[in-house]
Amino acid sequence: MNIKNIIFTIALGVALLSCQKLYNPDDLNSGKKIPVIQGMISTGEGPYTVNVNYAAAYNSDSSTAINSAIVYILDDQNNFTFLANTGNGNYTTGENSFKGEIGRKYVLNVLLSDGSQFVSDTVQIPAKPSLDSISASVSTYKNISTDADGNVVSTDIPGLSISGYSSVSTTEPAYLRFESKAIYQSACEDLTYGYGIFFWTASTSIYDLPNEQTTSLEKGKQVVKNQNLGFLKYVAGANATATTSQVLPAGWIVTAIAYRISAESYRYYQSIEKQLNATDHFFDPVPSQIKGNMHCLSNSDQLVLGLFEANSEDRKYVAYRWTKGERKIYKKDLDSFVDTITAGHQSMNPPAFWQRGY
Amino acid sequence: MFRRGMIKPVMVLLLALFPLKVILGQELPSIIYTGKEKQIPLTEFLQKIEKIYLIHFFYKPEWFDSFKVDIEATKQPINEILNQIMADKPYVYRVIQGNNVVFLPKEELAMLMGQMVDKTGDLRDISTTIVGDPNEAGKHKQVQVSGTVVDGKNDETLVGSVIQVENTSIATSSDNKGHFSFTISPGIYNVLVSNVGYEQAVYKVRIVSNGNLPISLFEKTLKINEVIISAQRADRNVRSSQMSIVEMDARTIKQLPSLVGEKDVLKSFTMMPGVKSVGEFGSGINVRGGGEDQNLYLIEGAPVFNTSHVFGLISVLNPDAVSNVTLYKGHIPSGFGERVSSVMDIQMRDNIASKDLHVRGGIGLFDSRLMFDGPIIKDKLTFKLGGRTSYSNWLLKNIQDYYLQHSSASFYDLNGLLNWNYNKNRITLFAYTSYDHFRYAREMAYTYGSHIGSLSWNRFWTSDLNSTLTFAYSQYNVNKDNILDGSEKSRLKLNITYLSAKYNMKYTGFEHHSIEGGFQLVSYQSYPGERIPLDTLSTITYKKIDKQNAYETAIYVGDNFEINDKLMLNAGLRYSAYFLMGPFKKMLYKANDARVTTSIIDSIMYSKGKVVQTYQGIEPRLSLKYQLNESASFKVSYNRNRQYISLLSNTSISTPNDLWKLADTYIKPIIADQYAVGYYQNFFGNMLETTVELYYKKLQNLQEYKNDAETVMSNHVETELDQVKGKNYGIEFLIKKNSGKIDGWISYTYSRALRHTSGVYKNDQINDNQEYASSFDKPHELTVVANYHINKRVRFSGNFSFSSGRPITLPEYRYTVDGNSIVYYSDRNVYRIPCYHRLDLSLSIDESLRKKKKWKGSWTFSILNVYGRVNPYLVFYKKETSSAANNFTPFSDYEMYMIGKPLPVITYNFIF
Repeated sequence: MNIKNIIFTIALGVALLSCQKLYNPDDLNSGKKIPVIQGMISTGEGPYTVNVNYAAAYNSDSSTAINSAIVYILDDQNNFTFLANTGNGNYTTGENSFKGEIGRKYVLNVLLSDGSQFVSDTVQIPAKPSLDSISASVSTYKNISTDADGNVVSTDIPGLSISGYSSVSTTEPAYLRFESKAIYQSACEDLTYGYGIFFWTASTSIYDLPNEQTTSLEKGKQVVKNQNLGFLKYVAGANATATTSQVLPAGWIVTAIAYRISAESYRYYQSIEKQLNATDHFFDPVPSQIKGNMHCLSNSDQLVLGLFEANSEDRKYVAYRWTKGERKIYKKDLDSFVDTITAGHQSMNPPAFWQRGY
Repeated sequence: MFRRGMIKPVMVLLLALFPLKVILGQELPSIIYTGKEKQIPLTEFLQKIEKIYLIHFFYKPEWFDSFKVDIEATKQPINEILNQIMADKPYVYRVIQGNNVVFLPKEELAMLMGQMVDKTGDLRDISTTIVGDPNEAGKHKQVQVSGTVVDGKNDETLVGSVIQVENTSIATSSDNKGHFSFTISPGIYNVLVSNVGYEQAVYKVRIVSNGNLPISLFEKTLKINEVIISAQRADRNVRSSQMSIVEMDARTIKQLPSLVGEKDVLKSFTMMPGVKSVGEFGSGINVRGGGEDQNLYLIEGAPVFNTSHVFGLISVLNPDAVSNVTLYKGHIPSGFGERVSSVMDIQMRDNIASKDLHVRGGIGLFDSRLMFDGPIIKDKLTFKLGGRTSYSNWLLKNIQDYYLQHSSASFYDLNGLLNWNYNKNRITLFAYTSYDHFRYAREMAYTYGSHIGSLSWNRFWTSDLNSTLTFAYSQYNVNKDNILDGSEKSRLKLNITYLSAKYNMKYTGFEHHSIEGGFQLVSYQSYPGERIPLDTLSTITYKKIDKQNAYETAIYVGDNFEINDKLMLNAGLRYSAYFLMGPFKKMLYKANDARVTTSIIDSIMYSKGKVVQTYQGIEPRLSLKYQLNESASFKVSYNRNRQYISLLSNTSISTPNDLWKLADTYIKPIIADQYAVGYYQNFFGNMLETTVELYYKKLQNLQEYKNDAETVMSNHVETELDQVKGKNYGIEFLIKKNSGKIDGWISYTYSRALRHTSGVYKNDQINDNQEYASSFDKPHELTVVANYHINKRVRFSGNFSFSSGRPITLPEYRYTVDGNSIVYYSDRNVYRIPCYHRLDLSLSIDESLRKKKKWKGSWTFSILNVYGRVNPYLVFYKKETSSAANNFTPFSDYEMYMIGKPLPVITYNFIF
């Protein structure tokens, strides 16, 4: 067979291809006033806050707080607890004025100035969980970001990985949600004046996503083992000024809380976590609604978003000290800690909450 | 020398070429022979004469194998010697142009003489062909005529050819192997054979007993200039009792418009009414509102579980390898089951009559193709071997998307076919394998592929009875790697394996009946998932979901009954049963609660080999045609189908790691009932074909995803699904011009595909149980395809498509939970992406028509998306950067599309 040489041509307008552009549908229904009501009560010390605002259009970067609502919690013994507005759509129970009781049922009521009334499903506080222990291990956090050229950059950040062990005295599956916050403290010596400067951050969450888990049965009780509670990033000298040097060991004061939540709350937070984990490309999961347990009494067609939950809780306070490169982690359990501290620094002497010597 | 088995074609050829010089019975020139031979075989004697004199003999060797002659001649004229030899034999000879001596059986010569008188000159191919054994003449009242229609150019079988017996009501069509048969009284008839794009052929036949009638058709482009052909459209659409069918043969496929710069057999069906796709990207097709998993794609009898390369950019079917494709979108013959929307029966190029090695191939936008086919043993054993490989990486690098630019995509597929003809047996061995690799930036990588094979034995027991035994195997594997550095580095493995044995028998011995029946056994093995950590630092724990085993059995029977000249009934019954086998873990849920993970209270473990769940039922298939007149008919049909396997995906468009899920204790089989009516009218001698079909489809147990469904690696996937009811309905119009300088079609479809849940609990409801549009609901669809044939080789083509945008769910509001911005989505599918419309133009230069030319190339110059329409196939939202003033994270919607501007494409194909 006479095989001939072939000259193939593929002349393509390569540069003419493109793939993605902004899409603004004309008929999008995002201009209505949709109340968002979110709140939680628990068995711990208050105050408890209910937030009331209007949802923003999805492409807006602002939100409208509702500060003129009447907000109260009604329990199964007809006790009313009114919450006072503290601005930004927040309504609080006040210091030590309210504490949830295990087994009692609650309903959240919100009355807006336009006469519309919103109520939650009836929620009951379950038996208390136990946050049995918290532990830390040296680890590395992979921080994935994009540089100015659009390249994906992976950076290793050293620090401590925090995990917990929780249990519930029941044979039925239970649902726990965890919160974890930490204050980062570091100190250095001012070379000019020869004294120490103490820095600390605000108490901030060390776990970005909702952190809910279902328990599994082990030795007659429901447990959650090795629950990831977050990562403590080591940033040596992060707050030091140009006149400082001699980085000192870093430390953290961790507040960890295990809430026992209802199955409905568990599903709600799972939905939120799934949405937050969804990535921004064409493999996104099928979009879905997250509604919660609030309803409008005055107009059943009125959409309202948010969740009111009534939980029991257990919390722990732990202080850690660790220096980058060391294997040894110093730990100290604290009986109590006020975790509403804001960021700051001071010279000469550390603040009262400062943890050292452990 | 034309000799071995070539006598009849040679005669026809000689008569056609030298009609004025043929003189029957002319004596040989005065050739004088002197010699002595004793008991010499006649063939040897004739060869000896040929060597000495300038004489050529034409005959079938088997005619003379047993004859020996004694010759003793001295200067005796050769014609006298031949007369002497043939005197006692049932053969005569005739001399053509002085030195060509053609031997024929005496009976056949008589026919030829009659034919010469009757020749009218306006038909291309009139010769009288004897069907059956002349010795059986007069013994039968009714006889069976069967045969195969092939493309005379390359001997490939032609599906859908219409065979009509002139001046009778007898008409039939060739099936997907090119076979046909009909029953008729013995006699002399004109048999008219037509097919779209081919010259009509007229065979004058003398039918004496049961026998074979081989038919060859030639493309119009090969017609001989001096012969006037009145091209007529085969009126199969009007005559056949089958409705809701789309057929494409190799020639049609060749002329199809390319949608993404490549000939794509699968996507080309979306140009036909009732067949849609989600867009330029995305795998599979949607037939009459059904999901892509509701279509059974059969290649040589084996199912294809993944139909696309590169996530739907290109279908897995190599266009060079495909010969015929038949899509049943409504009335599905009882021999087919397993899916509820459609069956696409794909036949590879069947070239059993091929005499030479052919090589064909092409260079496309994304890939190159090469295919070899030819005989291994002439007329007995042929092979076909082909493949494609991609160079699509360059395309990704040039798409203006960061992630795609840092991605890679490659694929290949290979296919092979062996055909063995032995007496009345035909054995076909088919194998196919495909491989895809896709890496998405530094996030994930997909590797997936199919292994498909089939072995079929086709046996013609009698002229009325044939059977086909088919063993089929299909396996689809997926590996999805999470390749982000760090704790989540892992691999997900999925697999579905299919094995089947099917025995089909067809009997045409009863007058006006064509009966078909058989049984089938299918074995499914589904591996729903295995997750393996890929790094020692990975926090992903090893997890494996138990594999699932099931059997599906079916028995079926069908009859195509010609009740009278006007009424034809195609009735079938299929009974299918499904058995889910152990080992299997069944979850138990709280009574009076939604079926969600938090309501699981216990489980039951079924041991290996134990029947866990059984589903069964009857699937009636009925179609009735009423012939209004020669060019118009009315048809009605009813179909019930059951489907025991479905594809689960929780992403906006299908991805390779979508899970094939078997029906189980909670996931019930999908049941579809379809009713259809149609009116078919052809005009101008079948040149213009029109069709209107109206359908209504009722569906049960469709899988829809609950909010936040996560089907991958789920031990209890039933918690993620709602089984919903649905209704699809629509009206389809088609106007098709089959011949002339301008041909093409216009199709319009109005259709709806609606769903609704009926859950008691909020978690089991979608849109509060209100009816909503399915993801495949595209009410309006218009397609215009036109070809202008500038000359025999050059044509200018244009195709325009318009369709409503498909339904989507969009974010409407944003709010904050624990410092995170959360989106509130609309109700399911209440919005639509913008409508789709696009115009493509192309100029095609077909290969040379010269038969002697070995290397033949064809070019296509196309401009896709002429006016640069942006046709999104997907809309998704993206988080934007928080503003400086506060920490709110706003969102934006983005649309993704494939070809946003005019795209010129040149493709080259060749054959030699």
